[in-house]
Amino acid sequence: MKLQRLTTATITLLCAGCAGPQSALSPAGVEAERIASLFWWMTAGAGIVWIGVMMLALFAAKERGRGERSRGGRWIIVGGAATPAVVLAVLLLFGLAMLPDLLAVPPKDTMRIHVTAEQWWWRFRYEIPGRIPFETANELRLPVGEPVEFLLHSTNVIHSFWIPSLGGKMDAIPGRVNRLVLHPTMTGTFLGTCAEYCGVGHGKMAMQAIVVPKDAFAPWVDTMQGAVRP
Amino acid sequence: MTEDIQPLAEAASEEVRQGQEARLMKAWQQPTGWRYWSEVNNSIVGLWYTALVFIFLLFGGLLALMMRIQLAIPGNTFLSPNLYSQVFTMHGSVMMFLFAIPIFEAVSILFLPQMMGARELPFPRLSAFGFWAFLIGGMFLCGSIFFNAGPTGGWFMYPPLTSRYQPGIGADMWLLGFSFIEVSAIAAAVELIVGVLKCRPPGMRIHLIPLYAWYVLVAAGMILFAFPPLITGSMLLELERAFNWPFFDAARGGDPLLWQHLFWLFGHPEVYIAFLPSVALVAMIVPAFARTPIAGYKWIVLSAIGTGFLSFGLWVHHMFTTGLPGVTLALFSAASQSVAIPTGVQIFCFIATVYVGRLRSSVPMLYVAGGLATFVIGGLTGVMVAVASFNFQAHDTHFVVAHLHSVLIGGTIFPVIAAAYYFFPLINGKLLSERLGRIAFWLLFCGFNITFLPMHFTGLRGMARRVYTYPAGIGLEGLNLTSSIGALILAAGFGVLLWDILRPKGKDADSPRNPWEAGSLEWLQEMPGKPWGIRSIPEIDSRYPLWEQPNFVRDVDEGRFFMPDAEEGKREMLVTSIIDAKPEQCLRIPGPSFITLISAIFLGGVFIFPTFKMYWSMAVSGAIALGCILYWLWEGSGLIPEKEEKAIGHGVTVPLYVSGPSSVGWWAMMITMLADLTAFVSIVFGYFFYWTLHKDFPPASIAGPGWIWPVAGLMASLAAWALTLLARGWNRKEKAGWFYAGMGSAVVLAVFGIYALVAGPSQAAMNPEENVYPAMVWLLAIWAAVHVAAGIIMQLYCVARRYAGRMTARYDIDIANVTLYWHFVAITVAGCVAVMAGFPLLR
Amino acid sequence: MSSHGTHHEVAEERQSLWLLVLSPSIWAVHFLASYAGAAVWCSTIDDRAQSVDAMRLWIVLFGLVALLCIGIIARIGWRKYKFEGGDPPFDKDTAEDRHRFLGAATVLLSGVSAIATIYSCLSMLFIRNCL
Repeated sequence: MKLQRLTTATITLLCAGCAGPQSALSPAGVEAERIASLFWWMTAGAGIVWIGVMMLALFAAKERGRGERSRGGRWIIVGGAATPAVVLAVLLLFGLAMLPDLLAVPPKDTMRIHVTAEQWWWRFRYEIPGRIPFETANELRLPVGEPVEFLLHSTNVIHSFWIPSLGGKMDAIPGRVNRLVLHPTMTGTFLGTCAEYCGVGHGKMAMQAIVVPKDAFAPWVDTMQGAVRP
Repeated sequence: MTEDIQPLAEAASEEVRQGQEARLMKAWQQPTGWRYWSEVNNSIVGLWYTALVFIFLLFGGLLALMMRIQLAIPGNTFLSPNLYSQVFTMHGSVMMFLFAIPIFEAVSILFLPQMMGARELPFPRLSAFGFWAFLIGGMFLCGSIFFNAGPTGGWFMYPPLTSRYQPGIGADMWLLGFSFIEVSAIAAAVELIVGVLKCRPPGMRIHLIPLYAWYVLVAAGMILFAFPPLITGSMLLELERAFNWPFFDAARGGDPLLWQHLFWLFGHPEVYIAFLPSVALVAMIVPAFARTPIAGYKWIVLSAIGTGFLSFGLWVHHMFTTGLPGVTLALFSAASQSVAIPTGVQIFCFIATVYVGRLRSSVPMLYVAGGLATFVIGGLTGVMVAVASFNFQAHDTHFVVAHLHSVLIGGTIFPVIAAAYYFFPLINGKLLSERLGRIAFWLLFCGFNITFLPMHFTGLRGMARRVYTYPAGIGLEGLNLTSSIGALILAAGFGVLLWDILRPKGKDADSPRNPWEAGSLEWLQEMPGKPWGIRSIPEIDSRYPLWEQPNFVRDVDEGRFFMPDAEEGKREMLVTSIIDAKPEQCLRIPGPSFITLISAIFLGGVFIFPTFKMYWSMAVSGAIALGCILYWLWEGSGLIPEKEEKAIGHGVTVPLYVSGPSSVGWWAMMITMLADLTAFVSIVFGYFFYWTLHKDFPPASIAGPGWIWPVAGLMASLAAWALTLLARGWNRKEKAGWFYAGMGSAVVLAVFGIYALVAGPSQAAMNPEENVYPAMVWLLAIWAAVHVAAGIIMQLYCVARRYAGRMTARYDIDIANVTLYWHFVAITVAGCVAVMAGFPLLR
Repeated sequence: MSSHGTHHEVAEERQSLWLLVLSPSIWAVHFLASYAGAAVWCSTIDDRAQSVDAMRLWIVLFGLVALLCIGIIARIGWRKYKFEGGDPPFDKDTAEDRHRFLGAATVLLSGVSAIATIYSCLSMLFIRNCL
């Protein structure tokens, strides 16, 4: 949505410290953009609330002996109960409205990559219709502007697949296959990591997603096919 | 309805009063020399407990400092990856299990009786036992890291990592060691609930109890329902590790997610159990310094109870990224946000109290202010992570680390430090230093914010949790270095605090009595305090008796209220009714005894030996522990008094011995069994959880226990229960022959019941290692059988008591409580059979 | 002071703390039933993407029933709160004030339980399926 793009772009410009190849705050994908925008709105709201509560507390502390009980009582009802009830309901609705899109099944012809989390590296198996499947390790190459469906597997312990600039994370759990859909919107190299403690190598279980223009992707697939024996 | 009692118009003569004090002193005297350690008085045990908890806090803090040093620069080699895993596991576990919960129990044991004008808690030996168990378990666990054998699974111990990928004893130590500690925590919870409900001064109706008591009641109640799922989960995980039962092994029908459900069913309420009693301390401190009664007392009661309930509906928010359906995420997002309402209301009550009052500046209020400012940040980031969509980015990153420390340090640690400064005079009559307190505060407050505010961005910039290092060049260096510097400042603050607490204060002047001019009962204490606690049990007319009841302190001091004496030289306290605190019993409570320590040692053995796979030693230790507990009960509980009633003053006489629903022992049994039933429900939850996972559950290829043996077991157990119930009546009607015959038959039937329950899976040759279904059936059968077995021991105990003349028709607390236990056994066995035999028939 | 009949109504023997926790318990029952129901429903269907409108409707309907029950409890609490006049704070040592306090606390807990139940129902607005 345009508003989300604008919000996140503005803030990323202002907050130069937020940029980075592994940053949820410099989004390069549809999902990451939506979540980053939500984050900035919530942060602004939280900031206002915190300042408001602190100012109220300071004011209360200064009113030595002059405060009326009924006024204090109204603060409790309005500030403590009524306002949060309304604000939280609104936040709940906005937050949940985003959820179905983040969880939706992508269109039938979406490129599918099977991710198998090993200890402690990532195995990617590309299944492109009409092509022989091929695998890469720790490195993904994705076409910009297209959705990709990741199916997450693990044969050992629980891991979590996370490329912050592109979107949220999803766990790879033995016995289950979880789905994560990402839509990269910018080219570049984006770093990811495992986000569920999986043993001694957890801190070094990194990966990278190289997002390339669409016309650079197909030739890359060809070279990978060349590497796979039919 | 009793009339409102007024204090005696005139004090007794000086001579009489001195005689009273001498007798009180004799009854409550602390033993000296090495016998000091056999003391069970809450003031002493509470002091040991609090000191030990602070030691664990410092240990946990040192571990955190080590982590921050390792993370100060990328690629650091200060800690090896394996050692780092031990350090972060122990940091989280120590803070959550050896600090956050025990601090509330320790402080409550220390101060709750005084806040309620009582001399003691109702089960002093249980408190002492809880302390020794805590000491043994805590040392066992913390010691592990010094042998490089510490657990490395994180404080949350997710399988399959911890079930199949961590050979060695670390995970077993965690599972068994912390289960032992959790048992002692449940014991403390039982005591505190009974204490708040039944051990109040006359006239302290339920709407006049100190707010700390409301919060403790709620938190202790939460423990009953939150700890058992973890104990069940730990049992399942240990069974998988030790005996290869496949609860979390997907290949054999298990699922790692069951652990996550059980753990977080505990883990989320746990943080509120840590938070509520701390904010309760704030609720006691703020009125004192605002010099006015709390504003919005009923709103705070709403906060406490509302948070207590709602917090049980949040646990799945720790599992938002596990692939659960959006429906589930939506429901738990909704509940997670709703809990912010009761949480926030109480903060507005504190602000309103300050507004209405005349605030004095002081060190405790400084910590309260800093703590609440920090807590509100944490609460706001909590609302943010509760939104499932945002959670997908923030989960398992340093953003959550920032959030959780804001709420825990702001909401638990700062209030506890405030309480340390506020309540210190009650410990030994001295005050802590204002100057050092302020210095420590600014170091802590600034240190905290420098450490954790940047972490919100560290997390969103891509740094996951539980990583021993991070890549250079992606913008994390500056943030991490800042956090590490902040940690050093935080550590300095703790250092100053520690110095202030430990420095010799012999030359300091004694604190004046009631140094803060507060209105609540704990400030009756003289400086330094007397071992008997309160001089006479007051009659209460208000929430702030020291402010609002005229001549109150004088009247208590001169023994003008209830029980100003210890005529028979025994330690005594008053038990009152739940709603209106009418006197119901003069309860005689035990004095010093080493049985608590000895029982704790041998019960500890039951948890420590299996860590090293020494199962015979475990059995022997368990048998001795059982013997100790039976001896403890036999010698020290249900004692028949020399007279029926005692006069407690003002023309009121109360019985010395009560059995049934008015008695504290009955309540203790009821509350403990509610916790036990919750553990059973968790097992049943597991069974049906597996059913939702598999189309074919129970699997058609595996024979079940059938229905014949289980139903036979049920019938036998129910018959045993019925006979026990009847035997209680026969005992009361002095029909000794019927009593012995009935109990004897009950025992025989119960033995058969055990055989039949176990015969179900056994005759069907169910192999618990093969698949999760037979494992669950065996678990259900064994759980029920063990409970029946404990019931048999209790039945035999009652027979022995009657035979030895320690239980009679009138004095029948033993069988009253055992019957109550058997009600729960009946429910458990019925539930077990319904699930293992009945459910397959439905399918 | 008060008539014998009133004494009877606020006498301790007729009081308990159960009313206080009844509304939160109703929230809990609705919440757990919704969660368990949804979990079982989603586990028994074959295609997680199919529409679950019926389930959502049940959750909301059950939620309305829960709100009704909470409302009844709130009303009982209100009557206790307003018993024979009397203004907050209810901090006098009398059975009447204790009665009013318990009523007021019941009303407040009913309020928060109602809000939490409404939130549960609201959360069903956007979810269409079991994905």
